[in-house]
This record gives sequence, C-alpha cells and structure tokens, in this order.
Amino acid sequence: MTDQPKNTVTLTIDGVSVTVEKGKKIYDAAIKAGIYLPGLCYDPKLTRFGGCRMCVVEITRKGRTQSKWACCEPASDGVEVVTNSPRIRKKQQVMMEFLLAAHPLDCPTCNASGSCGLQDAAYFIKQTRGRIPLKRRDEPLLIDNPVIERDYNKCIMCGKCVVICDEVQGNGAIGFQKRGYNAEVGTPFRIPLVCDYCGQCLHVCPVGSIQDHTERYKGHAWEYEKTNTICPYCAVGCTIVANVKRGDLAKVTSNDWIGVNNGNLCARGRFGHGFVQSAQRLRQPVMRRGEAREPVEWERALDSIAARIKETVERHGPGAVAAIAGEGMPLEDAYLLQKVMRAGFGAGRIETLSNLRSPALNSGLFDTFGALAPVTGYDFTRRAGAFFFFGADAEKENPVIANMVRPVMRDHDTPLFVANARDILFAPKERARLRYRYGAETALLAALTAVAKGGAADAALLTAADVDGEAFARLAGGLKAAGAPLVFLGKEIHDHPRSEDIVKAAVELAAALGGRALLYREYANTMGANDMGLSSTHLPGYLPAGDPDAAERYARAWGRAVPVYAAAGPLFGALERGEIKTLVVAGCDPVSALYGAEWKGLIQNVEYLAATAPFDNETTKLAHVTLPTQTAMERPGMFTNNEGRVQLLRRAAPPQQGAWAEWEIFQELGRRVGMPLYAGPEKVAEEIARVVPGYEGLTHSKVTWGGSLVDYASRAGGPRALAFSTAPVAWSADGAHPLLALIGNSLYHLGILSPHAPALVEIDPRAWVEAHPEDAAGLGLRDGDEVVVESRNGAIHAMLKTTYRSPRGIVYIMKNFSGAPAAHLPAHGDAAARVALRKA
Amino acid sequence: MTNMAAAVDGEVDIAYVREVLDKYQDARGAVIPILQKVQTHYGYLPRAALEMISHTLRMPLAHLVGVASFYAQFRMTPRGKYMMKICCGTACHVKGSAKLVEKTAELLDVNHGQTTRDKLFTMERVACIGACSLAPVITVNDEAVGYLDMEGIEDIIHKLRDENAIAPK
Repeated sequence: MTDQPKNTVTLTIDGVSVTVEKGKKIYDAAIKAGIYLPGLCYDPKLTRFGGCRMCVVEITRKGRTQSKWACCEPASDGVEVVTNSPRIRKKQQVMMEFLLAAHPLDCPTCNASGSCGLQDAAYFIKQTRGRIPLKRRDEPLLIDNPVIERDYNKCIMCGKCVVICDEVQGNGAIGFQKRGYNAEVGTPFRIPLVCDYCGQCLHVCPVGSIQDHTERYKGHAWEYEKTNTICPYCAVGCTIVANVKRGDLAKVTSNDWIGVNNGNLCARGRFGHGFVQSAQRLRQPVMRRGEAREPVEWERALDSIAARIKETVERHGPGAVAAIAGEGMPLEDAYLLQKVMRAGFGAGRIETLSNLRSPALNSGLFDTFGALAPVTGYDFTRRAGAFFFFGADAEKENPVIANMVRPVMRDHDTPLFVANARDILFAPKERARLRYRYGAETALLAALTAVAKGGAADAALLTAADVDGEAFARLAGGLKAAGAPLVFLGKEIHDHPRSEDIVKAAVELAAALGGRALLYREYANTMGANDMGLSSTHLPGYLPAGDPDAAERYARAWGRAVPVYAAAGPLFGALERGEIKTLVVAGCDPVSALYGAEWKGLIQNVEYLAATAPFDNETTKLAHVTLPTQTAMERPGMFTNNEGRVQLLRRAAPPQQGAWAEWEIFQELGRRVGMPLYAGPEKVAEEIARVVPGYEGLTHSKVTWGGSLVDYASRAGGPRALAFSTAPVAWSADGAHPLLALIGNSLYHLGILSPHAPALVEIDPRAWVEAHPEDAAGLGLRDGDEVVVESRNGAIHAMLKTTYRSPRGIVYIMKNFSGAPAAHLPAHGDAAARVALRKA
Repeated sequence: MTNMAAAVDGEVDIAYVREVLDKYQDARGAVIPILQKVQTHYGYLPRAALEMISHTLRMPLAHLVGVASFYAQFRMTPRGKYMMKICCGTACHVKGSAKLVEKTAELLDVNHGQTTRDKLFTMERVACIGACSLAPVITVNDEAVGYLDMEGIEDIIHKLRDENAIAPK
C-alpha cells in the first residue's frame, strides 16, 4: 500500500484485492472485482439511497467486524469485505421475504423477466416467497401516455426512478407519495404522467414496475440480439442499444458503460426508432413521367442521374450542378458524395442545410476562429468552473447535454447561468438567469466580456440588449467569480442570421475567462459532414476549395483531377438566376427545412432534381428521380458528434428490402464515370483515415469502443483577433404582424425521420406554437386552440400552447411537420419572423 | 379559520399564497412552514396553491405533494366549517365511541376524513385528545363536548345545521 497513487484505496473483497478511486463505495469496488451483490437500489450515477438493504456485507477493520451496506460505505484502505457468509445470506433472505411479500410473482407475463434485478437477487440467494402474509396491492396497470407504462403492484420502492427523474433529468415528474404501507411512487394527485418521456425511469427500474409500453409482449430479454450503435437524431452522439428479435426492432435501450451518454437517452433516442419498420418506407426508385411517378429499376435510375449530371457539366459547365446533403448521413456517404461530385463530375457546389444558413459558422469554422473554434470535448464539463447556456434551451434541444451537466452541478456545486431570448428554465436551478432582446446577443456578450476582463459594461450595450440591470450584474459577476465557463451556444444561435458574430463574441467571452465554447449542431453528423468537405468553400479536412495546392493534394490521393473551385456566391442567388440546371438532394428535405418559402419555387424550377431519402418528403415529391435509402440504423458507418468524436454505427436492424445505403448510390454514380468501387463502408473509412487531415487512423476498428476524437488542433492555426459588430438587429414590427416568432425543434422531433416514428408522433402529434398566456388572452385565444400563424411570407396552422416560457411579444414555433412548415414564415436569410396569431 | 369562505368556494383565491411565498422566497427549506400557513388560511391545501408553491420554489409538484401527503397534519381536500373530531382513545372506546362514529357517519353521510357535500362538516376519528374524564368526547373545531350520547351528537349536528341554514354555502 506504499506505492499506490494518493487518490486510490485498496481493499479486499472475498479475498480479491481491488483498487478503486477514493470516494467510491464498496459496491463500486465489488463491481470492479467482478463480484455480484444482489443490490437493487444502487446506481453509480445517482445519489446513494440505501433503501433496499440487499447489498449488506461484513467489513472487518482493525479486527472489528460490522455489517454495512456496500452502496453507502466508502471503500477505504485495508478493509476486508466478505459478501457471502452464512450470516449475510440469512439477512438477505429475510429482506427478500419482505420484498416478495408484496411483489406479485407475475414473472411469466412480465416484460422485465430475464432482465429483472429482483429475479436475479432472489435466485442468487435462493429465497422464494416467505413467511409473511401481506395483502398485495391491486392497482390497475397505468397506461396514461404513449410510451411509459407503470404497474405499481410490482414496485419495490427502490427510489431510482424518482432520483434519476430529479437529479439527472431535472424533471421531478414522479415522487414518493403518501406514507407507510400506502406509500407509492407516483404523480401528484395521480394525474397522468406528463413529462419529457425520456424513459430514464424505466431504464433504471430494477423490476417490471415501469416499462416500455411500445415493447409490450414483443419479446423477452434473452430473445433479443443486442447491438450498440449511435442515435441518428441529434449531434450529441448517444450510444443506443437496438434490441432485435427475429429481424424486428422491438425496442431501444441504453448502455451505461460505453459512449458519451452514460446510459442517458431522451425520448427521441429511446422511443424514436419506429421509423425503421414503417410501412411508409420507400422501397423502389421512382421516376417522374409527366405528372405521374412510376417505379423503375435501380440501374435505370442511376444511369439517368449520372448521365444527366455529366451532360449538364458538359453543356453548362460545372457551376450548373449542385448538391444539397443531409447531415444525418454517415461520414463514408458524405465523403463519397463530395468525392464523386468533385473528382467524378468536376462539380464543386456542395452544401448542407446548416451551411446554406450560415456557411462561415459551420464549414469556415477553422478559417474564421482559428484555435478558438467553438469545439470542445464533453469532458470539459467536469473541469468547467461554470456552465453558461447562451441562446440554448438544452433541456429541449439536447436533453442529454443537460443530463451530463446536472450530475456535475450536484457533485461539484458548479454554478449554472442561463441567458436566452425566451424565459426558459433549467432545472434544478440557475445561479442567475437573464432574458435579452433577440437580435442583441453580441451587445450582451460584449458587455459580459467587458466585466469579465475587469472593466465595466457599457450602458449603451445593456440598453441595446434590453436586460434587467440587477440580473445582468448577477450573471456577469457570477461568471467572473466562477471562471473557466463552458459556454454552450444553442440552436437559437446556430440558426441566427448573425450567428457568426455571436459565436465570435461568445468565444471571446469564454477565452477571457479561461473557459471553452461548444456550439450546438443540429444533426447527428453535422460536424462530420463539414469535416468531409460537404461545402462549396472547403475540401475534406477544411482545406480551402479555392486553393490549387489543396486541390492538387486530393487529386494525387484520388488519382483524378479535382477542380479548384472559387465559390460563386450563395446557392440561393444561383438558383434565382437559373444557373443551376441539375440538383442532387441527398438525405434531407430542403423544401421544408430551409428558412424562406422561396426555396420551394427555386428547387421546383431546376431542370432536373434527383433526391435520395428513406421516406417521401416535400423535396422528393418534386424530384425527377427519387432513390430509397437505408437509415443509419440499418448500416455500418461513422458519425462525428458535436464534440468531434467519431463513433461507430453498426447494423442495428436488418436493412429494409429495396433500400440502398447512400454510399452505395454515390459509388455507383462514380462508377459510371470511371471511379473505383469499394467493398464496404469500412473500406471508405480506411480511405478517409488515409487522406483526410484530422482523421488519421480513424478506421472502424479503431473507433469500435467509445469512439475517438478528431484531431482538430492541427487544423486550427493560431488564435486570431475576432472582430464582430455589437449593433443589434431589429425585426421591424408592422401593425399587422406584432409578434416575433422564433423557430425551433420540438423535444420529440428532429429532421426527416421523427415524423415517421409512431411513438414520437403519438406523443407530439401536431405542430404547435407557444405564446405568453396574456398575449393569447389579448387575442381572445386559449390554450389548445387551433390557430393560424401568419407572416408576410406565408401562414401555417398550429395548436396554441400558452406558457410563460414565451415572454410577451414572442412566440415559439416548432418546425418539424412538413404540413406546417414554420421555416417558410421567415424571409430567406432570416431565422425569425414577425407574425400575427388568429383563431383558425 | 380566518377565511373559510375561500375554502368552501369552488374556486380559490390564491392571493394569500403569494403573500406567504413573498416572505419565504427562495427558501426551499421552508416548505413545511409555508404549507402550514397556507393550510391554516384555507383549511386545506388547495391544488392551485400547491401548484403555485411548486412553481415559485422550483420544487417539482410531485415532490411537494409527496411532502404534503407524507404528514398527517396536511390535507388536500377542503374541510368543512366544523371539524368533528371523535375521540377513539381507550376511555372513549370503553364508553362507546364506536357507536358515536357510526351515528355521526350516518347523520352526515360521510366516512372518516371526509367532508359533507354542503362543506359544513368534516368528520375524523382521532386518538386520545386527553379529556378522558369527559368520555365519550368529541371536539367541534376547538371546543370539546363531553359525556355525549346519541341524542347529544344529533343535537349538535342539527343545531349547527340550523344556524347555517339561512345562507347555506
């Protein structure tokens, strides 16, 4: 014990010597030593509860032996722990008698059977129903929401669901009610469960008391083939576990031990994968003939697209072809798309949805920000002095980021600060919270930076930002005192027409306090799509597309000429001028997703439109050729999440018949102009690992467990002075459109897949708009009313939700349903719109 | 008992809750004193009041109601103008309190812990109230009435009903 590091302790458990970090419990040490304890209420990520008493052990210290609960007793040097003496078994058996006295032994029809902690524990200590006659509860099965069902007859009151809902999810939707024999876990007044539907409670439930309603009677734990893969929704990059029985994806669970999410998932991640087996999936290529769309063979569809691109380039030049790519596409697909477009057809205009909104922010990241790029690893959350969520509604946008932050706040008392244009809350509680005027973000950040640097805030900036002086002082003072903040910039910033300036201002604030900034990315592979060069201005690895040396570098690597592409201005203008004759849209729906209703007409007017998608969408409906694709759940590949971590996608569900992976489509197009084929996505990944700067060595086998971080540092260059304007943007109100509409995602929806996930649609079935109750009342509107939201550019129907999250004068609209395209309300180039509400 | 009108009304004016919360702002540890004050004022904990406390203290409603439902002192259903506590301690039991409970239940058409539809009476069985010399004894609000028989309890109920007959709420 003399040579061991200071922060560890060594003890023996059943004769096995084990070393753990100081502060860990004996239970953790037992897990490490591979010794099973039949504990039911312990979870390393939750505050210890010490409720079930099943993990009782005997510890001997200085010759004295005591019974202790392994989950509550800190591991300490030199103690001897015994877990299996007859005396312990006796105690556990008595405890188990009490537990089984009230627990219905419904194991044959219980979905938890086979993954039930109580079953395992009872089996382990060989205890059946005991001597205690007790009246069992006879509560009905509660099915009051689409995804989480509760059977409180089976509850053993371990408290894990209550604690995770409170500590990790910040929701507190359920709690202990009543007392003694009548005590139960439940909602207040037994109202139906209204929460985030993250399913964290059912993940930690050791018995079958809380279960996945969507899985009911689909299979037993031992029948499932389990595959770890990465969630295809947002950019956090959570590991999910697909549970497949005879080819059917029955449910998705989480994995506490690998990946970035520590077993946490949100509703999208846990319940949002029903799209895989949806009857609406496209299963055959379709071509348009006049008004009709008819199914065709793959060969014919691919021939048509390749010939058309080639012909367009020959006749009108490479500038007449453009591609818009989805950011839910894995790296291999993104890489091949740009390689085929560039080296195969000589066309360099390739965009993603994010880049069309704000090119500098996404693909120009390293040019613009240098070493101060707003990318930092999640591990910084554990070192940060403070959390500052700016323009970020993390609880709704990236719930799992909030899940990462809350335990750190709990354990280290890290202060949390929130500034937003809306009145969003962040549970458990912010140290300071501030609301600013949308459009004046840079002014506020400049004022905060001035205070951070020891000066005073310019009164003019505070007036511009329209902030409460006292709240500002609390926020600015608190940030400065805490230091080293993680500044998290949310969707409101990402989509903002001035996003680049705001990010510069935020990066400067973070740098002034020795902290880091992390930028919200919308989709699972937004970061990777940029890394792979899905950008008119950048080749893979952020090499400038207009630089002949960079083009030469890739020409050598690929053995084909690569055009030196000097960007020819925004795609929008090129479409308006009719310069784009052929457009390829891969895995996204720009008609619904891009801000500005004008896009639809422009895309419709292109002479030839080819689209790939797993489902029909507003863009494929206009396309001349539509190719059905596999979703990320059905194929291997890699995603790069928003901290720059490359993680491996595995084939989690059998591919749907007739659908191809996008990389196969792109290589087939490439083959038609003489480019090589790959044996599989892992071969594409090997090429990426060979040729893309920052991705050196990141092959499938390298990133198998837990992923690997991209080496951005070598791309970053030196720090730069980041000049930005502090002048606020104003959205001029006119009498007819008095409200400012901000647009975002629902907690339950994102991208092109969620509208086809039955559970998510059941939870959140229709478009909604949030407004302040008094604004609504002033218009004679009530919560739940069907309303029309109208701007100068268009109108959509939505359901009204009144909430104090929306301050007066501001409404918030979810954009996820193509039937109510909120993105069409703003003008092109904007992300917010002046609107009016009226009853439908 | 200061504002029973609020409790007997269907809709509750929560202005008083605001007043209490202003005093205890940001004090999560003050949950129990807040609940006590609110209950003293309304006679029970109205749901609207609990929702407001939860919102202001940023304490999940499930946890707040958890606290309120844990302690026997808190009630979440409106109580009547008259709280009839029937002592079921040993002495009263020997003197026939069980029959008093039965009779009261029959007269009021309520069970233990329930309130009559006219919001006039709430009946509760309680353990010894320490007035064994008066057994069998009940308390009507804070007043003890001893040596009760079946007619005695009937008289009390009729008398109180008559007194309130003019303006039944």
